[in-house]
Amino acid sequence: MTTSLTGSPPRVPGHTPTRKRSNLPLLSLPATVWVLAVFAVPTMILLASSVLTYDGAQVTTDLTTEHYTGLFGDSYFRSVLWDTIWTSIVVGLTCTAMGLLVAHFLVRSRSRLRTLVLLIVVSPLVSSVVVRTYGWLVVLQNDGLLNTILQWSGVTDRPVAFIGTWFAVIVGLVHVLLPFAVFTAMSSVQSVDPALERASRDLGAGPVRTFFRITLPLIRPGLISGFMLTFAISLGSFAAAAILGGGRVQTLATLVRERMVVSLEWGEAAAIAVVILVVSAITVGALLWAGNRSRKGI
Amino acid sequence: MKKIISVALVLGLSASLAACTSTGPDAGSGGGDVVVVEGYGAEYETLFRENIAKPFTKETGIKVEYRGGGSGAETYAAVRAANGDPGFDLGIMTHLELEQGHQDNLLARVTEKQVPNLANVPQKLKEHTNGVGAIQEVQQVCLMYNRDDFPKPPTSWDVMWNPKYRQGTLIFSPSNALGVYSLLTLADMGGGSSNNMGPAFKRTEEMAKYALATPTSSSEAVPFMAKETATTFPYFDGRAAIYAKTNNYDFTVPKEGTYANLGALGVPDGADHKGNAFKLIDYWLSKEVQERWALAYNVGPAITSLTFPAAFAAKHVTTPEQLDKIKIADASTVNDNRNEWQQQWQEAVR
Repeated sequence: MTTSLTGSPPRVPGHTPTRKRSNLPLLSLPATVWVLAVFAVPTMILLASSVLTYDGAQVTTDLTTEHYTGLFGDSYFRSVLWDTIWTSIVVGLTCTAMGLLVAHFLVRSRSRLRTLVLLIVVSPLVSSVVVRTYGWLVVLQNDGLLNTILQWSGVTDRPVAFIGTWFAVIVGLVHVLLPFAVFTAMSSVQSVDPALERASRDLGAGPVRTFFRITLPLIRPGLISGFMLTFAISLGSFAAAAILGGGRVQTLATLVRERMVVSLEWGEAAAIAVVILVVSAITVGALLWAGNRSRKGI
Repeated sequence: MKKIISVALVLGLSASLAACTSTGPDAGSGGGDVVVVEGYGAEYETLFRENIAKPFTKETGIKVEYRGGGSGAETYAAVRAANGDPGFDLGIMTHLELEQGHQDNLLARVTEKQVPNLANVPQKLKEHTNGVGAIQEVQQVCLMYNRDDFPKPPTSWDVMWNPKYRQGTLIFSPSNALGVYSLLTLADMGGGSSNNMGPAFKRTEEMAKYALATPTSSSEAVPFMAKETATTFPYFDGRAAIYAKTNNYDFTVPKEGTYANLGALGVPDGADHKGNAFKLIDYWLSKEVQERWALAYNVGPAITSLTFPAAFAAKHVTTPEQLDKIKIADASTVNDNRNEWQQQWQEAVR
């Protein structure tokens, strides 16, 4: 008896095998239902909520664009939108840059500190975002650790008000999102063959030139993914702005909460949530398009 | 055998689902003899359990299930989201939410027929319920001050702008009721009103350059008192009295007068145990319970015919004269403008 190495049954001359009906559609059914229930349906409800008319607490089926025109006609909303976007860009870029440095160290270094660094990167993930953000509140407040160091070292003679500033919000977000950027970058750095870098060095390129000419182009997709992930999460994050923003910093997410709970304008709240979704989708789409173009060398 | 197991599984699952989803009067939690209350957390919850829930259950046999959570606004948002059937029978909120519930038609009417003790409540308070709830306590916005900074109580709200103290003051956001009343006080001081809030934002902007913090809830002021970095700031008298006992702070009502925050009880229109909710409101409005609650939570009672110790009466709204003097914001105006005020406040403190 012969067996095929590929596992397919041996062909019998003159006999055409009957094709078995594939079970693939049935197998993919649970996943499809799950995706529809968890992602598609809520998104559709959100989109519908943003264009339906609210008569007090009652929702009518009359479609309207007034929630959007109201928002974009409001200079306050436009300023919050812009503030949220630039903050997310800063957070995304900072996380990507820091994530790359840490990932490079974790993948390429033979230092004993690797395990410790990995532990430090992973450890924030075991505690909640709120707890971590409150930790920064303790560090950044007027009599917190940072102000104590600044005053002790003579940099300033009175406490610097960090809480209630964009700086505090960005610091909190970077801390929360950095692990995502590190792990995304790690998989990219791991996929680069060290032999290529060694070859570059053997041919006379320094470490900086090797990094920018050899390593960076190869890990670019990972960096783009890291940026997209941290940017998108930052765009809709609530805790950092609510806690470290100290009431002074308003982002799209805190604005949604206010419209939902305080002023009960749910149509506008849904429209703001859709704006977050759209900005996120446009950014991801643009980065994917740019990534594809650069890969094709256009 | 497989069939039997399958049938048993299906039956078990159905029974579990029925138990989870049934909200009828006989469902779970002691059947019909239960009232589910949604209110504030922290010390409010502890005081409610000790002073209202336990004695109420002892007297009536009705079990009280309390869910301590967020603000009155959040409690009402739950009522609205569930279209009047949020899974609780009584919501602890403020008169601002009662007004919204009245507009939305999502809160049940509360009359003297259902709640006889409503007859004890002064007309001035009843006017602010729109007939869809009851006021159970009167909190006033007072001026909290550090005893070291002020051996004698400050006499004007203006003290917060004094260069000596302004770096220790707190500006509450109007996303919280305390912030709304603080803004209204500033408007009044500057010759404005709820229809002319310009002076309030001008004063807020001026103070924001120096203020210690801009809290979004009253609990956020606690660390500043614990560390004594706060000098003077507006606060509700209930919490103020608690921290006056545990911190180096005291409170007073300045000469310009102040606003009241009316604690209110609302029954969602679709509540399962409405009858029990009305019984609990009636119990809370009885003279004995009103006195007990006022002393426990350090607030003014909703009925003014009670006698309190002199020291307590001096600090809280307990008499008809004090009630007459205190300002109560028009809930409709506040609800209509809160969004706009929040935005202007945000721009003022940036």
